[in-house]
Amino acid sequence: MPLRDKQSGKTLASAINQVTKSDYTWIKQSGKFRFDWDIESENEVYKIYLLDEEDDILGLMSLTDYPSEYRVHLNLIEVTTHQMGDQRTIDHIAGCLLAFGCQVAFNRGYYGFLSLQPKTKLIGLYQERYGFCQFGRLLAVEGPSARFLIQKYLFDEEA
Amino acid sequence: MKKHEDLYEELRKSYSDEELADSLLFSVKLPKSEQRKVEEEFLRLRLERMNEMSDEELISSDLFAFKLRLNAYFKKNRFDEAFTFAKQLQKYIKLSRRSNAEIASNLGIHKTKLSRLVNDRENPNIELMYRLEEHSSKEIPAFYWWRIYARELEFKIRTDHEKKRLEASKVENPLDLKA
Repeated sequence: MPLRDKQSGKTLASAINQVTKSDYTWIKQSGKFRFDWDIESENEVYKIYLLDEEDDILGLMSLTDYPSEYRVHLNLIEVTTHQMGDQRTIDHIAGCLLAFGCQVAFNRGYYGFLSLQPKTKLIGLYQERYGFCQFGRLLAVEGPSARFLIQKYLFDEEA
Repeated sequence: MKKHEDLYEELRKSYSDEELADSLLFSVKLPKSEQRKVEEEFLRLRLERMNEMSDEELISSDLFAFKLRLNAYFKKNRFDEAFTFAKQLQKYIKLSRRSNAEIASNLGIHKTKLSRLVNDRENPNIELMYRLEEHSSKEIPAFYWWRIYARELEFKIRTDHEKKRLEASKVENPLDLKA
């Protein structure tokens, strides 16, 4: 179930790629993101966009690789302001980015291990929504739960 | 500059936590000494978890990563030397943690045939692809193996100029459609 048009329920062709230098300028000038993504530029930052609207970034994700700990850490996912809450026209933007983070973790041989250190009060919500498990104060998806996210958000029907 | 938590509190004035979970995930940092303890505890739990992973879990995870790499290759739409049927079969055997002899026996083929397949001296057939699907517990569908082979075959057909010339020389009286 990749990106989906909220009204029609149709699947929307999209892509996820690393953010380029010129994207950072666009992100800042567009006013569509509230977090400071220039700070994240020292990490691995990915963007998601519709294939037929490449200039319009729908969401961003910042990751840090911890090879010695066999994990990728999720610093931040932010969906563009006009796709938040009731006004959104596209579903699953954050889910697709999160699943892509798991895919990165699989590709690097970390068994899909993606960690997150959320606010304490959000732990239950993230567990329920995305299948995170608790590792002390941190949360993580790995193995079957990471695989579930990838299959739910990134795979097309025949895969 | 506002921290993630400050921005989150601002956004909460307009959105519920459920709505925010659909559009915002972020990590927080604690004061240094507290953060260090959190990281130490996490690392201990992470290593414990890794040590207790069973062979089955490791193989399942490696196999899924293998599937993801194949999917990424299919999306690229062009042939890559690293993705010949022979090389991917070698990778599959390695991640299954079984010997060539075991795999040949599992697939019901002679070990010499398997050796020829992994050394690119014999072409695979559809029957083998179905067997590989079953062997991978259906994780790698037969059509994935077909796609790998079909792309390689197309590349060979397009680029084997010598064979093309040789076979062309055997054709008599071709259709003359030149304007």
